[in-house]
Amino acid sequence: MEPSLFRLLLVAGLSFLAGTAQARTLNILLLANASTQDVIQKLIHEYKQQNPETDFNISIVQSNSITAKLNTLVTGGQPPDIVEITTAYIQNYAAQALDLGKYTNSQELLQRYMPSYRPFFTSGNKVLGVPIEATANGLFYNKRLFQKARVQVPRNESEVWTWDQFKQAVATVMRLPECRMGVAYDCSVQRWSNLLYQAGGRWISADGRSFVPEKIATEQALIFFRSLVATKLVPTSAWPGKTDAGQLFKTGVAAMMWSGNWQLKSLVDGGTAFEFGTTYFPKGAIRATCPGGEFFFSFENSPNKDDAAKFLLWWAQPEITQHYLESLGGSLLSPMSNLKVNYGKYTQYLAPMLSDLNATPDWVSVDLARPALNLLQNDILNELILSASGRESAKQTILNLDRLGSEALRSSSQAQR
Amino acid sequence: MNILQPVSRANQTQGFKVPTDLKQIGFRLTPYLFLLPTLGMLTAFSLVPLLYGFWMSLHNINVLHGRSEFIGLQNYFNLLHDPKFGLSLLNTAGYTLAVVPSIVVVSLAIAIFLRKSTPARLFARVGFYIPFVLSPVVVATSWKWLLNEDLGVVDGFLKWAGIATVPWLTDDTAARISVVVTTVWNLVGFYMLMVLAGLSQINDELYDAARIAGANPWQRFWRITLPMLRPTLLLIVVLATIHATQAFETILLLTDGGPANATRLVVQNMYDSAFVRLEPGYGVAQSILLLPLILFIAWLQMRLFREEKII
Amino acid sequence: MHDVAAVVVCLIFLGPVLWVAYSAFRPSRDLFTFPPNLSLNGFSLQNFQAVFASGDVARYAFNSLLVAAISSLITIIASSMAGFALAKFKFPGRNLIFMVILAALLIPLQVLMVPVFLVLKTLGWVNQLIGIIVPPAATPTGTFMMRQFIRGIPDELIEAARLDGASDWKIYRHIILPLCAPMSAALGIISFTWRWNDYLWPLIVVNNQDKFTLQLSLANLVGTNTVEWGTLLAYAILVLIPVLIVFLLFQRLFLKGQVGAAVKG
Repeated sequence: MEPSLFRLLLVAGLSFLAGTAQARTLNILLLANASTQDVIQKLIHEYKQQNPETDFNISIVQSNSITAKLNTLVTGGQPPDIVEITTAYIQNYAAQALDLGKYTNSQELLQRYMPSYRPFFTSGNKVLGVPIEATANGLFYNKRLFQKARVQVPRNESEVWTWDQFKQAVATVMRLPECRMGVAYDCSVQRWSNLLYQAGGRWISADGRSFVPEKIATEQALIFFRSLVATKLVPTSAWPGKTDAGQLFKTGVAAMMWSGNWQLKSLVDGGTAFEFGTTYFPKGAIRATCPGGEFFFSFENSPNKDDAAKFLLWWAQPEITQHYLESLGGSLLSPMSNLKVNYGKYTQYLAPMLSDLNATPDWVSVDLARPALNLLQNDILNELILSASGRESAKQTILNLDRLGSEALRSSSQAQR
Repeated sequence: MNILQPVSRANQTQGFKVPTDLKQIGFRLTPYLFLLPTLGMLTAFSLVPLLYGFWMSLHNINVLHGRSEFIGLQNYFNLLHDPKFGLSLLNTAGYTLAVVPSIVVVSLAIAIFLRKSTPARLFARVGFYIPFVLSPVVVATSWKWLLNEDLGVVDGFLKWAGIATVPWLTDDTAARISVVVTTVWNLVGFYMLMVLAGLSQINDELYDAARIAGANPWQRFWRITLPMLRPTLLLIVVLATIHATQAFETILLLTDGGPANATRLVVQNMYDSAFVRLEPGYGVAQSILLLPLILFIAWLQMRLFREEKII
Repeated sequence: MHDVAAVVVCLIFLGPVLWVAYSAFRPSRDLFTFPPNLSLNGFSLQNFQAVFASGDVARYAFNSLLVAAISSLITIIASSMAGFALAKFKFPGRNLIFMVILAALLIPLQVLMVPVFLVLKTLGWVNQLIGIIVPPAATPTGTFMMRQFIRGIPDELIEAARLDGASDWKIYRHIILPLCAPMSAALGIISFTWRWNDYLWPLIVVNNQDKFTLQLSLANLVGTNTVEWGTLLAYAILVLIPVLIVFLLFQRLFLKGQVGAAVKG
């Protein structure tokens, strides 16, 4: 085709396209989650009514497959406009995420959220996305078994158990013949990290250069957990069997569950054959729980990034966040600082978790948000399992962790600009 | 022909001598034309991506920053020194050696037993096929729950019978056995189908004549069934070997490669590299390194079954 | 007597499946209780109701059916053609081509998701059903199965047809294809099962909810932190049924002795 004719057609075509680009469709990937996906879609619908020129193409993806799907789309040149993502993966996309600081005052935006959540969705000066809900780890207990064994759980913050008292309580309840398991403990790095933080340790040093810097605290956490597994206070089907803690707890023959507030909805709404409650985590050197949550973010290369940013900032308004959380029924926590959310029937269950959250130092979130932790999670978990099963001494585990962590930190710092 | 001698397959596998006369060049094109649909699709959706994958494996790809750096064969050298990769190879070898014979024996036994088309056996065929149709999530969950050492049915039964319980998923050896059993359970239906198809090719008259000549069932099996099933057996052995080396999803959901990497196979290692450690180049390098190895094993198996010269 | 044994062994073999079926009919909260609640009053259909409430199941079923059926058809035709060529012709490159086809089986899709996506993008097949029908249809397993089976077809039949002046295509259509019926049935059943159960392909290709298949929808019951076990197991049972119907329909093609009967002496 003749060059000038081609150019003419190209210009005509582009202007035609520009003219028809009035209604924009945002591609949004949501995580499959029975508790939240319908409510999110309801809110999207409300946004559409307020902003009729924006349309949404919603695709729901299983969260175990989200990295595979997302990486394929992004590397394949078709990034979605908005993605719902968890704390486990958001930092992986720090370099490619859309900086919301370009659309609003980032300081003001960050101020709305609790300091303990800010490390998750920031990277340097960049605001990666918008938190939509917050989670925290929590300790559940089987009221029926505890009452029968006549063991009292801490009623307020001053009665918080020490690690030894916690062990004692579980051991006493386990003496009941109808109690077949102690603490249903999820087999994951995140849940185990709880103990590390309670011991006063951390995965990565504050300057980001060394791995497990607090050797003594780490050793204490490893030895304590090993003792839990060795005395069957944590069942082997959980560590290293990797059976889901919720499943084990719902059998009704487990004394406690070390999990988080996300379990509440299915426990309360789905119902259990036994009465259950939540209580405070035991205290090691300090009290600590692990915060977490979910976020919306967009990509620098998203086709409709301006509209995506508009939607994200709409959600970041306190009224909207509150509206979302209350539509959920109150089982998920608010990530915002001064937001009074009505948690409804979940209030009593959330109270100890909120208290634990308040007592948790801010550096815990900074630690949990480190990308290196995500990249190494399988290797770290392997070491933790070896230690918990007694196949490796705690000292050896620390050496191994140090080695693989330092290697990873070194290579990731080399990859920095 | 003496019925009790092994049936010769010599006249069934020669194939044709294609005329080399140039005038018949149109004739020569035919096999290629017949292969075109399959080759076309495979080229587009397997081979081209594989070539691209090979290109990826020559790079150190940083997903977090969207950058990649050409490093030549460095990934391959690193693999040769990677203990995790070596361990996963060993585990895969052991797994394959356990799974393949089990599948051959069990699927043969079931198919032969269910040969007759009585209603009961037709029902049983469907029954044995069902596990193959279940999605990995369901297979893994149901087995994981049954094998649960605190509350599972299997250990519950063992306890009731006075035998010691077995830590099915938390002891290295027991976990390996559990994984093999679950796999065989899952796949038997698939291979049973192939044997059924192969059995249907065997002429009934052969069996009738054998029965008249006084052969017992065992002799009929060894002298008629097994030799006539040779192509099918080769099919099963090669496919089972290949499937065993590619095993991933069900095991991931059952043991996650645990406990402590005892059931971690190669594909899980690749997946870990590509999607957890975010080193996709390294992940693809593993699959490319293994490809000639497994192909070689398949070739060896074909030689063993004395198919006419393949290569 | 053998019949009874067959059924009994089969039922024992199906133990885990029976647990799944049993659990699908009990309310979620009873699923993992211990000891298991075996009483009849625990029977409930709420899981199945939840399945249909979870999304546009009819549409997903239609998509799955379309994809599985068309893809299986393509597989049977392409594989039997390729198997015929590999089994009954001698031509340069035959062995190489066979090994190349087999090699394609050794490439786990997980590691090649990005390149495959790029190929589909070039073809314009992203987010189209054709993108999950055609690419997986060229399964090397099918070619291998057909090759082995066709080797078992006596050369005399084909020679006789050639002497009668039949073209290769006619031989394929009128001799090979009918005689392949048992293996085609097996391949059809297996291919249908595979496409029905495909998860990774639809995950890569499909972006619109209305193009979802049943497997994508089922997988979404595995939530971020908790799994909807009751609904999932019920869904799994429902998803099972069409494949079993296909199995029952096609298995009568495993008729015996058909091939040998055509060649006397």
